[in-house]
Amino acid sequence: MKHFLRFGSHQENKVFINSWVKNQVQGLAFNANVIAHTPTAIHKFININFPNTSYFIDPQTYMFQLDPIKYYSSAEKNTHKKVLKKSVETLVNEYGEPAKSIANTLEPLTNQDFEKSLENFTENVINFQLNYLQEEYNKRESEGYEDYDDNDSRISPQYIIPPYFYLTFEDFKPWLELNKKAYEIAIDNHSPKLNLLPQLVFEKHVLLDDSKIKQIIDYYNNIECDTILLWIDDFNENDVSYEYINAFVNFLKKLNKSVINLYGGHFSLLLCKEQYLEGFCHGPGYGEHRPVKPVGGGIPNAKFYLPFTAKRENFPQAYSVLSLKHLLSGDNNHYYKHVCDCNKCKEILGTNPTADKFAAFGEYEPSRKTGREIPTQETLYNNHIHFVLKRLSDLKDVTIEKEIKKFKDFIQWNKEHKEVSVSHLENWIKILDNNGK
Amino acid sequence: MTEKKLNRIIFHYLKNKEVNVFTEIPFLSRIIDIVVLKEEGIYSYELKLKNWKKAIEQLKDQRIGSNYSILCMPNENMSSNVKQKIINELSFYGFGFELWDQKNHKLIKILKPKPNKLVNRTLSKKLETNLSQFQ
Repeated sequence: MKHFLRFGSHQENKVFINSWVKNQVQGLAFNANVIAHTPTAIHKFININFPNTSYFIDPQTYMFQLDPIKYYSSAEKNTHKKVLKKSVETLVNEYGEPAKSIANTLEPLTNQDFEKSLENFTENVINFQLNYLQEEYNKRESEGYEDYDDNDSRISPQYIIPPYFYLTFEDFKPWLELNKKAYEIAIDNHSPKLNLLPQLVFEKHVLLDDSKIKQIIDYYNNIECDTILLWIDDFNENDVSYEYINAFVNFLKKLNKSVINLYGGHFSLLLCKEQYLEGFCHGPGYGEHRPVKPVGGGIPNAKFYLPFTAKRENFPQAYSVLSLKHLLSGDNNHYYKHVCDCNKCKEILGTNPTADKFAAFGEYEPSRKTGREIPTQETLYNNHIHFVLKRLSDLKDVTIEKEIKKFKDFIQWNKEHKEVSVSHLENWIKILDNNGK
Repeated sequence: MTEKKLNRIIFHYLKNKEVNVFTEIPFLSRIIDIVVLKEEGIYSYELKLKNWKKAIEQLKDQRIGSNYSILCMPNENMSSNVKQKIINELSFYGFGFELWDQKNHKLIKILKPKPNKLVNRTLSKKLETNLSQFQ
């Protein structure tokens, strides 16, 4: 099973380099805009902390299909004129035409725009992944800025992703054709030297359209690759109806390639155990699903990963479940056996896990900006570390049988207490139970 | 009637009856509509015109800092069928239920709240601190 932790911003540094986490991370994923924003800091981050950990860069070429003004521009300080965000400006300069043209037009690109210069665009996208971090580091080093001692600082990603485009329900075929062309160009020019992996991104409603799914399967089953990177737009395993999650698993069954789900959670982990997925990826506490069209963040919340529901619950819900189950009664065997025995939980709860100690996962402070309370940085950190450590141990320890039993027991308990939503667990059980039959 | 107006009316009504009445108190990323501090503990009020199911979810979040939780709605236009549904659901969690009688300008106590079993000492103290900080 392959597991990748996605690095979303430098605020998360602390989580990744936590000594309990760092030694267990199997793989890292970066989005191209993060790389473009702070290349030398990322170079340093990888080189110092994860020199032997495999990583890949999502080139995010779908973003040029979206309206730049709406999704990735900001207003200039003095003139208030809309311009591309700095990181996107770097990307379009690196990727060249047709992406470069959006800096002036601020208009989304069509598939015809790409057709004209697809070969060069594909080469530039590949070059960015292969060389940008190193080149930027070398530039800074020659200017005397970087000071970390490092004899062989050359780093390169494990997988290279050719340009890929977002397949919407309405506008499906032309972009699928473009995906094919870009992948073929990459294969012709770089296979087998580079480990090229196609990335497939589509709207979740496509899952329910047999004809579109057939077109995807027909193409991807016949291309030269072993593994596909998959991103279903805003597909939340914990929230979608049975119809969607069932269609998702059926889709995986029909694909004769290994699949890495780029935004997945505990259900993806279970699908890895069932060998429907080869691997999955998420951030340290979020990013188990992601919309293609970026949305602004709301008020942050302290969310505790609750193994009973296999998802991050708002602190009051997690606390209520644990209290009602008498798991915060001071008996350490209870909590550590039935909830989590990660180092963060042990550090916070000590030898007698109590309700008062558990409050460290839900500390809030006043925010002048919102007029509400927001979680303290320490609380967010505690929750992230617990989440990542629990996920990393689940990769090894979880079995389908034990999970199904745990979920069934919890659903029964929840019927009597009506504390949290468990419909996702019911959906998962239906699918996983049927698989054994 | 808007929820804001209901809040204002009930806040002033309670203020005439109790000493320590507070409104719009932030607590764990939510805002508690009204908090009354009494000798026997902290009472949290969630006020709603219609969406009582959402109110119950909010009360569930607040109960970890409050000793008693109460849903308060206007009496007008509430069918006995809906009223019974709400009572059943609130009883399950031990929450109280009060109806605002606009005509007679008073709160009618329908269901007495039970002490919240899930109240957490640390969080309850935090809520008490917020009463003075945010008022």
